[in-house]
Amino acid sequence: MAHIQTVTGPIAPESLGITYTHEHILCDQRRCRADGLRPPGSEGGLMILDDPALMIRELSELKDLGADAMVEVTMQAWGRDVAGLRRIAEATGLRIIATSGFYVEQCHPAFVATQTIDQLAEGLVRELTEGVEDTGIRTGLLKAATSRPALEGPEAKCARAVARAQRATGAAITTHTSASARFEIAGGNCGMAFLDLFEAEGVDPRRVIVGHTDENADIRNLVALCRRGAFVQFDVIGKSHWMLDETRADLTAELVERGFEAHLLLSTDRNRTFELRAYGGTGYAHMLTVFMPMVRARGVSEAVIHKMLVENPRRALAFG
Amino acid sequence: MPPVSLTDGQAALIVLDVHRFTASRDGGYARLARERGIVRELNEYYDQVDQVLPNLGRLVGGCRAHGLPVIFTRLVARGPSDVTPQAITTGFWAQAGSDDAEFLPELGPQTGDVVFDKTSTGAFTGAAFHSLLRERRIHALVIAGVLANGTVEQTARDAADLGCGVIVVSDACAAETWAIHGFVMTTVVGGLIRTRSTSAVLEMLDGRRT
Repeated sequence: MAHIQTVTGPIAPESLGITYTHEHILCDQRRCRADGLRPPGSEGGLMILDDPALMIRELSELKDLGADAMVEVTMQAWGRDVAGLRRIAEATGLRIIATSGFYVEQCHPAFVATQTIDQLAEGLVRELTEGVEDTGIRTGLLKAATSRPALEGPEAKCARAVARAQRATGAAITTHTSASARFEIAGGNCGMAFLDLFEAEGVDPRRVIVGHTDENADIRNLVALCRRGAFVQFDVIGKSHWMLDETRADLTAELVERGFEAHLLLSTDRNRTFELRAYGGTGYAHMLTVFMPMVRARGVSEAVIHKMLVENPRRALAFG
Repeated sequence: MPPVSLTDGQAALIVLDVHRFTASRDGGYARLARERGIVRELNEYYDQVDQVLPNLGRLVGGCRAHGLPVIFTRLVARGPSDVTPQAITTGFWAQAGSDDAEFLPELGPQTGDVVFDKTSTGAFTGAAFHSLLRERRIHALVIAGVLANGTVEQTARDAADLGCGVIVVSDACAAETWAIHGFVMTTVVGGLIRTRSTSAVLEMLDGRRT
């Protein structure tokens, strides 16, 4: 029977409320095996959220605003802590879905180099069906990532493992599609390359979430991704160094106007302390309090907004 | 950093890629963004262009008055086969003979100026531009234009590699965003490359400062 797997147990899809589909709650990029150059002794702007008490306060505020659930996409070699997520879920009442898979090459666990694709896939299936390590906490989503304007090398290997785990479990795949300055990636992201690889592995594109499509967007590419059946996720809402919220809202309204509202997912991808409200940032709440009014102002109805925030996440996250 | 002189007859001004494709709100750059549905993202760029154009006018006028060669480049080609793979991938080039290839009415070449059509991001890709400078015994370049975080930076660094003294005119260049403009103007400096404002370059032309 189809269910959504949270860190506190399976839930009925129809019980899911407003859901952020691409977030971090506990993450520590310092744990990445090879995360590039940075000054000695400095965090160098790394993605770090390592204060559970702070997160409980932040997420409790968000729950009071009406949020019900959050997909946590931190990967194992990047500080994923499913037991910590369960404690935060229990303390806040927020439903949290943990994720299995792989972030970009710099953050791959060492065993990626030595295991076969099928061995990697088996490890992912185990987390989805039995639990992460000895915690008994199951994940509810798969993730694949690229750090380049192409799928190649270990990242392609991991994407294939993720695809095979998807075939075995039915869980959806979320993707980190890379990005760059405008115009440097044809179409704005690697969503099409992911769909090609996943389809070659037999994955139904309707089980794929193409993430980070609002870092470097092309409406023609977004439409093409929707037409292939994938979810298109605007998940860095509020991060104006990638794109202005006004542009995101324009693109959201445009996709709705063209009849693709069933493909849209929304989130904020918070992953640094300074982004949180407690530190003067816009926080997770920005999506509900600032961005959604911008979408409404463009004539998008409450029924369609309900689809984007509730019904689409239910469909994306349900499996089994 | 060796001194650079604009008054010894060995300096030239290069105005990089300021034509309708890049500098007009109905040009190709804006069209690319519009086709993507993200034209609003170029607001900061065109805000800079608005401020840069009068400075470019002063710069061009000053250089002409002091006898410096003025070279206008365009990113123009007859077709995709003439353009570098990078330009094809990004779509960042203009068709020869099109409106996009036209200079702006307020800033274009006059008799005595040089027009150099290039098919690459940097001016020095291929040998033609370097040959042009050598023929004219040019050893110092004043560089301005668009995009600061593309053609301008690449051309400045290539010129320095070839031994030219380079002045990037910070308030006569536009970058993709204000933040990027600041970053480029900070990081491009060093070795044979320095930045100056338009006013400072005009004072150098008058021999009133170094």
